[in-house]
Amino acid sequence: MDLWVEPLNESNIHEIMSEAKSLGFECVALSYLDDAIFREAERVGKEVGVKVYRKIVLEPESRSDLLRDLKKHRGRCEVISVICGSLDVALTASRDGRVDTVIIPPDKRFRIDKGVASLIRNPVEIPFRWFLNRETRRDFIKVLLEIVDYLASRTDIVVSSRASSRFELRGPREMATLLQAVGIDENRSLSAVSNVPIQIIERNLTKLSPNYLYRGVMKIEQEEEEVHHT
Amino acid sequence: MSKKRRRYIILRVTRSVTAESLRKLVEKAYAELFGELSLAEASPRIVRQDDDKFILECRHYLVPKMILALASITEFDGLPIAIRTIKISGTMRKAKEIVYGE
Repeated sequence: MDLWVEPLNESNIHEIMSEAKSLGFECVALSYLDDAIFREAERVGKEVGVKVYRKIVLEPESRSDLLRDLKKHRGRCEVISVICGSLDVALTASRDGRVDTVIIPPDKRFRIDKGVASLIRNPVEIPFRWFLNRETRRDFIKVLLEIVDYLASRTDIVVSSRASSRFELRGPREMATLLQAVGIDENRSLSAVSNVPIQIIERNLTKLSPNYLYRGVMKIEQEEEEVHHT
Repeated sequence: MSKKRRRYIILRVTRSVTAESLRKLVEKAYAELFGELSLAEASPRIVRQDDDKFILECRHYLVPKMILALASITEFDGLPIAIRTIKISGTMRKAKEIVYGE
């Protein structure tokens, strides 16, 4: 699964979806544009055989901005990710239950060390596009090495493409080699593009279901064919 | 001296390129990421071409690095390009079967 695809407009949705399917993806999370474009993406996804989910990427300047944005967007999409430019945003986002992944940009204004790492709980997402961009590549690899050194043993890692064109899409195995090249074993690297993002989506679909009441509590409807158990 | 184990990476290129220009492109991308020393160790070689599909030979333990180097290529002659890894094979016979559909 590709947890972050960022189409520029309606016109390139078809080519991105077709390419994603040919690369072996079964589902993609599309960063939220508007309802009309998302509906078009869903239609194209059905046509080519790729499931489409909504994703919101927040880039708040401060902790208060983050909390305000989370309150506004909660329950509106399957995935919420936060780009953490500063330490207070990173620490808040990485412990908030409404945030699914934290993204640490190459131009971050803080250092990841043992102390910071011990407070981070949510999965860390690594967009492959920053690796493709020659201008950001060196800083991106520095951040990636910090993440691997301090966070890999504590939290889950997700690799997504953040592709905005078909040329920026990469296959699951290609994205996984980014982690393998910095010392993470093959199974865990492959999980970063399959199991971990799928678990995030499944957990959130349960939360968004009308039968969900509270953590661990679901309404059981006997009228329906499918009976949900807690 | 022990035999050097090799792997055959089957590639698909999104634009038409010659085997020679692809080799140069791959070597440049690999050396940029992992250095000349590792490049010499990997000793990549284009062994077959069929239209937009290629077979690239390299040392078996450097396959993940080679795939990453291939994935890092985004441009050729000023135009966007993507190199897709289709399959990795341990034998040339199997690699040819995949490329030529034999």
